[in-house]
Amino acid sequence: MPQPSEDLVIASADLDQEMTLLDILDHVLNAGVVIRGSLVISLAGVDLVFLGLDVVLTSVETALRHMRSQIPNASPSLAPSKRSPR
Amino acid sequence: MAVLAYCITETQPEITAPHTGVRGTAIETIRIQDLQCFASQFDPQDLVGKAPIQEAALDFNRVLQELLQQIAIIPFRFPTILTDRTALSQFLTEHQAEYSEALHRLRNCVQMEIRLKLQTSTPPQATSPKSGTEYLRGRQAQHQYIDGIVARFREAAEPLAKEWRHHETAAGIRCFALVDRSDVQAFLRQMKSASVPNESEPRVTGPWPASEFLKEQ
Repeated sequence: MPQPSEDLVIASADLDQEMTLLDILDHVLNAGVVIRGSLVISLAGVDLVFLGLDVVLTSVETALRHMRSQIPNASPSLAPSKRSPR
Repeated sequence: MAVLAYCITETQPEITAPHTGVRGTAIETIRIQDLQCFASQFDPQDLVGKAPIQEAALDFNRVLQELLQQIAIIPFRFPTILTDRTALSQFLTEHQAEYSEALHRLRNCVQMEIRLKLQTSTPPQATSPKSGTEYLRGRQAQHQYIDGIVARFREAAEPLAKEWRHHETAAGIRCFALVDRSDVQAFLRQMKSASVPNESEPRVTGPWPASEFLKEQ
């Protein structure tokens, strides 16, 4: 019979428990209104919304690699993916 | 000049907007009928050519969180940069009715999120399938197992969640609960009491803007 999860992680400003960079980036990059079309500025033909995604994802991988090297027992879920660097 | 759009709120004179946004730019307000939109004049080159873009994303989040503490917001995805204020006004005018309805419905509400990790080995007895039927049975068992975990969280959230949505992603299950902002602490306590297997590595975060609930189901 399952018990209240001891591994439950709560990250909430309401409990003074800060959210991780990954939580924040995931939300600002993946949630919210998306505008496409001529109203939106693009660089080299790529809307900044999507350009930003690529740039930030690459940066997150670098950050995660750094975190892994700093925290020897970090969860394997923090391991960087196999995407090739841009 | 180009503008970086942050979020939309209902017009409320008593809202205190942050003075600065991404890369230290001044926050401006654009009002369209009963909506106000927060934006800042922004050179797109500043996004990729200066300090790390994560800093810009964190600044963007800071602006959203400061406003979310005061009022329901509809955020723009970062980085949404429009050609000028006129383009942003035009967009708001076109969508005014839709956003007004959503902000009215979501007034005083925030979104809480629960992430559950999908283990490739769940349920634990799963082994290499010997046939297609066996594979499908394994998949069915895995979905039943996950549905069971989601149901336990949903049950724990039930008294406080005004709405509930969940969907599967490559990394696992994401559950979203719409709760009254005064119920956030109680919601977190309820989540702590949920009985779920530890291998699902449950993670509860929030409060966030109610982005998953902008459209009614």
